[in-house]
Parts: sequence; structure tokens; C-alpha cells
Amino acid sequence: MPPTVGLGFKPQHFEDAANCTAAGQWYEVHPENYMVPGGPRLAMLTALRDRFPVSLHGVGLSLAGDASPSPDHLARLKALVDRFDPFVVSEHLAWSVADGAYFPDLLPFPRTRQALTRIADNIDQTQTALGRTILIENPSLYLRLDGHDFPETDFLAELVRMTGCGLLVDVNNVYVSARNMGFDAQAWLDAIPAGAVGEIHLAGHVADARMGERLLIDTHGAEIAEPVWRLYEQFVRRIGPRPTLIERDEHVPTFKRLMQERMRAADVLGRVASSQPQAALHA
Amino acid sequence: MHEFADFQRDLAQALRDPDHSPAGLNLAGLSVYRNTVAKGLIDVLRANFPTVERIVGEEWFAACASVFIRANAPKSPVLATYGDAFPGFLRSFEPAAEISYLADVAQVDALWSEAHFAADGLSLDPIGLQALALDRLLEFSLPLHTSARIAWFPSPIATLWRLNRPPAATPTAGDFQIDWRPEGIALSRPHGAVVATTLSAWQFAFLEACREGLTFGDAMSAGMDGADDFNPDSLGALFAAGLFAAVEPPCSTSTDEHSPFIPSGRQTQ
Repeated sequence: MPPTVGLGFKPQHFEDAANCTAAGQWYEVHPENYMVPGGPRLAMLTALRDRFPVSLHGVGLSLAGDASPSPDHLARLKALVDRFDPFVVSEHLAWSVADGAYFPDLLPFPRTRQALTRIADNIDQTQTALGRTILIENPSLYLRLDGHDFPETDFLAELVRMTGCGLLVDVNNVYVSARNMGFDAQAWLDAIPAGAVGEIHLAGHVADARMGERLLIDTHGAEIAEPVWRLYEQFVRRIGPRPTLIERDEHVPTFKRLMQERMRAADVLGRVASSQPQAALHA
Repeated sequence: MHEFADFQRDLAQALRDPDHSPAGLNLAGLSVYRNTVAKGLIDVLRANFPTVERIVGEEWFAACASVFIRANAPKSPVLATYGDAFPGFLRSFEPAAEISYLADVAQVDALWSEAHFAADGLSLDPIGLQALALDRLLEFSLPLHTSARIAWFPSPIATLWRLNRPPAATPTAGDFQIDWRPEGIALSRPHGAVVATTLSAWQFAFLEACREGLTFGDAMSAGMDGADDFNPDSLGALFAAGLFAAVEPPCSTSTDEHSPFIPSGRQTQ
């Protein structure tokens, strides 16, 4: 898969998305939205997949949970992977299931040695069930927790070493977490092993209504912020071009507007590729 | 230091119970997770019960949904039909008591979602039936399409639901007069989009008999026995709505692969 820019697919954009002629276009979806017996959603994804590469970006495996991934959920995911042959399957370094209840969020945990062992095992079970490696994404963080044994970047690097998984680096999440947790976003990105990164996410955030700029919320509901664009360009200058996704889930604008953000990311990849021919060839 | 499992149990409890705040956790940060979880679930209910929201308004719906989600956490990350317990919840939700039809309208929204996400399948082409001799037709069973959902209500729920289901324009009092009588509804997805059909008593009885596997003849009798509004002409509306699955005729002696019962190229979505 050449390192081009894709869009998170929104059903309201189906006609424009299916008829898009931009070179290198691809689409990403949450597989949970397609785990249904039939109907128009699956038909739309089938039609898109006929023309474009697709990536599956899961939110429901709860890999950072203190339990194995649900066998039922893994089977549903495997069925979609077999049907749509995505070029990437990804999940989050977060949990969302506890005591049989699902929370539609990406929840945090203390990065302890115990957690590392459990999560590596969960990733391993997932990769075995799917018969392929997956990418793990850094979530946005809102709580300063006690008891971390590892910085997040070391924790991710350890998971890569232990399981052979790759990383999906969400640059907006790095920026949001850095502001909320009080770390340096640039240093975080510098600490990520370049060879492990298989995809990059870009999205928008907003300041919390009450706390203001002291608490940023990863809403996927705004345009990508300028500091995030700068971090993105520096990151790909270091690691080389990677497939990059523009995510938008709230206040979804027109397809055309999303394509403008896509073009800006494609320009960054193009500039980096031309200035780093080796990286481009390698990627 | 938190143990891995203890921490998760504690945070899960804090997400379920607004009065539970684990020691050492920043409330502003915790509220981001609480808000995201609540908003996520309420948005799914909004999407799955748009007619209910239209009737009660956004604010009332959000307040009601926030009570529902506290006691009805989803058991799976697949939320396409989350809220199947919502109609039952509305039946006993005291603030909804004065809107007697609200729970039934919610039931139709839930059936709509079921029809929308049901397995794909071919619909019966009624042209094929016309080619059958009457005696064979009477012996023939008509299974319902995989997407077909039917229900009967003691009040005009089909009319109320159709008037209020978005994207229909918001009705105003002067726009219509409702004949307050029992009604049935059928939802089906013959060609991609869900279609709603208002059912008379005999149509509902006929469809229910078909669903139970009775032959065409017995289903017709069931329809006539169950209701005094029998009207064979309105059978056509049920076929047009794609409510029956494409099947092979019984005792077929035909060796023709192209059965008139299975239309070509009419794959439903």
C-alpha cells in the first residue's frame, strides 16, 4: 500500500466517496458499524471496496482490558476481514468493556508491567485469530493516573517488540494528551520507533467548555489544528511518508471540505517524499 | 498503586454512578469520559428512535435516554440495534405515561432498525404466483422475507409513526385527523430502503399465519376468520412491499432453472 491519504467514510458522503477520482484515495471505517447481517451499510462498504483500499479501525476489542477479547467479537471481526480484505486492521491502546458492559469510549489504565503482559497477550490472541498483525493506536488521555511503570512511548515500543504489532500514531491524540497530561508532544513523537509506524491519524479537537485550553477534547469535530499539522510534517520528515487518515465524526462538513484537508496532508507527504527519496522508496 | 483489574472496576463504577468518584482521579478529566460515554449512547438511541425524539422533543428525549442508559448498558460494541429494551422501558417510565402511544411508536422504530439490518434476500415475484393454478396456490406456503417485521397495536400506531418518522415534515394539529382505531404495521426492505405498510386486521392475521408457515389457503382463512374487513385486492399491497421471500413452488415438476418465483437480479440490500 503506497503511503497516501484516506478519509474516514461517512455514509452521508457515499455518492461523492464512491465517485472520488483522487489518486491514492482510500477509506477507513469502524468495523463495529458493519457487524450486521445485511442491509445498506454493508452494501455501501461493498461498493466502496470494489474501487478503493479499505482499512478497519476497531473500537470494541478492549485490548487494554483485564480480560481476553470476546471470542464472539473476534469472530465478527474476522468475518469482516475475510470479506473486505482491508490493507490495515487497527485497534486502540485502551479498554471499553468491563463486567460484560460496553462503554463507547477509549478508557485509560496505569501502564504497569502487569498491564503490559495482559495487553500483549490480548494483542497476540487478536493477531492469532485474525491471522495477521494489527496496528495499535495511542488514545487521547484526560486523566493523570498514578502507578505508571512506563512512559506511553516505551509501553507501545514494548508491545511492538513482544507481539510484532505495528503502531497507528494519532498526531492529534498526541497533541491533546500532551496538553492534558503535561508532556512534550514533539519528544513523544521523537521517541516512537519509525519502523513500527504503519498509519497516521489526523483529526480536530476543541477546548473544554468549562476548563478552556487547560483541557482539550478529542472530538473529531473540528478542522485539524495548526500545531497538529506542524507535528505531523515533522514526524513524517523523520519517519518517512505513511498512509494518513483524515478523521471527522462530529460536525461533519461536505465531502469537498474534507478533500481539502486531505489535499493538505497529501502535499505534506509529497514534499517529504521528494525531499527524502530514500524514505519514499522504502515506504 | 492500582492493580490492573481493580482500577478498571473502579473506573467502570465511576462511569456508571455519578456519585462514585475514585480517590485520586481528577473530576474534570473523569467528566470527559462520563460525558463521552453518555453522549455516545444517547446519540445511538437518538439514531435508533428518531420518531420518539420527534414526538417528545430533543430535551425530553435526552433526559429520558440518560435514565435508560444507566440501567441498560450495551452488552456489545455493536450498537446497530442498541435500545431493544427501550420500548419496554418507556412503558413503565412514569413521565411518559401521558403519551399512551409512545412505547408502541418506539417499538416500530426498533422494528425498523431490525428490518434495516436484516440479512439480504430475494423477494417473491408475484408474477410467478399468477402462473399457478388456484388449487396449487392454496397449498403453497409463503414464508416472510428475512427483513419482514410485523406488529399489531390497539391504537393507530402505524398512522402516528408514519406522520412523525423523520424525514417526514413535522405534522401540525390542523394537518390531519386520526381515526382512533387498532392498526398493524409491516416493515420490509425489498430494495435497499425500508418500506412501511399499514395493515388492516385481516392483512396482519394473514401475514402472521404466513410467518407461522401456514399454506396460502389456510393463511387466507386465518385472515378472514380474524377480521371482518377481508379484502383480497389488498393482498397486492403486501406483495408490492416485498414482504415474502422468494421460494421454490412445492411439488414442482418443472425442471426449468429459471423459476418464476425467484426473480433474477432483484437482490435486496
